[in-house]
Amino acid sequence: MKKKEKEIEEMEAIVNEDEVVEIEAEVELEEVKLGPKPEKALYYENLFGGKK
Amino acid sequence: MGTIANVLVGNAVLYLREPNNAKAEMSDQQAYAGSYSAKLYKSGSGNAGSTHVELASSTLWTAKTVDALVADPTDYSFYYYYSAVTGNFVQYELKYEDPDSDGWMELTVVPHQNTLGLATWTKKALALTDKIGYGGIAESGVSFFDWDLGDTIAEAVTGPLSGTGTPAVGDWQLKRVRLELWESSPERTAYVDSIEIDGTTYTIEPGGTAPGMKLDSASTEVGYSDEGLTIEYSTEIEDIRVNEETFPIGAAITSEDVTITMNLAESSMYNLDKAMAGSLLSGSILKLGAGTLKTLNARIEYTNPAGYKRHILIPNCIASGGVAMQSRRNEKTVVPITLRALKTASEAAVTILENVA
Repeated sequence: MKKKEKEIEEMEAIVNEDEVVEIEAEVELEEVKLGPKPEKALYYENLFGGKK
Repeated sequence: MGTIANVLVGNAVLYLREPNNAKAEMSDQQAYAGSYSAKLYKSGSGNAGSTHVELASSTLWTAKTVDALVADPTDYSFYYYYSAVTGNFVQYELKYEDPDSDGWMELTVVPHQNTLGLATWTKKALALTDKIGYGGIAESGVSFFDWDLGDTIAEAVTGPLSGTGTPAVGDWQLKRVRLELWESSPERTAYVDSIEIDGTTYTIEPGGTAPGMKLDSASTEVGYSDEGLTIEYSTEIEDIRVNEETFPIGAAITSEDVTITMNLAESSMYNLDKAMAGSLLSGSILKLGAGTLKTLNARIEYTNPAGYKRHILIPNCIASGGVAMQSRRNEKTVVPITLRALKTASEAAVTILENVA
């Protein structure tokens, strides 16, 4: 019984890992969709300091 | 009798760009109206920066305020012809100044981010929904900027700018406009013509109506000089002679050269690097012996007798002279620079461009 419970816990952990991976993938896709930061932003960061 | 007012006096200012990976030229390769347009080119490598055609007022355009832009951005427009690649194309930058303080703001409209060029002339009128980025100095002297492109023209006044801690800019007045390429990559060309500012369309032509027109590509002014600048044009002409005549019956140009010489009074590493043909500058170290010959982009700016700008544009040149620098007690060390123009494939080697507005 105990062995089975352990297996279930391990499987749940794997499922959770998968979920985490899925969330990360979505974040990455969103970043690609937004595109790279305009380089003129870096000009003002250098001119005035900081990031906005 | 002559006209004293036509006599050109005063200094010329030399601006250089190196590496030569971005150019702004007056070009007759494409034109929407007339024979010329402003050609903006990025080679695909090197530093980002503004490669632009600029229109500027000698005084502030008092009626052209930020509020006026937001009220009707559609009467700010330009015609464009983009090379057939996908990239960030022309940005419409408006510089506003506060008539009551030293405050200023560069408001950049970016309607053509990540856009595929179609190699055909098209009009772009600014719209309330176009994205903007901006940066400047507030009336209080504090800097502000926002370049995440989360705002539109419609929000220029009602959005973050008028929020807590941000300046009220509605009554700030227009000083200049730039149509620019910024990112260095990909390699692309944009021709820009017929720029409309608040309902008035300015032609991009030699002798056109565009006020204070300037073509520039994030260049650096070399600073103080000693005994000014000399530009020299020279030719070699071969006579065509025949046995039966004593005079030549014709002549042909066999070679032409334009050289610019100047003694730079500011002995900066930047100036040293530009004067020495084969040098390599990296931060605070300048190396000789790599054997590379660098090309530069030069612009010389005068004020002509009528009080308007005259530019000599040399899109491709090399430093070709010896550099002898003498250090003596209580005397300045000048850096002599000699630039020689090279021909580019499609454009003139040297263009002298006179503004009439």
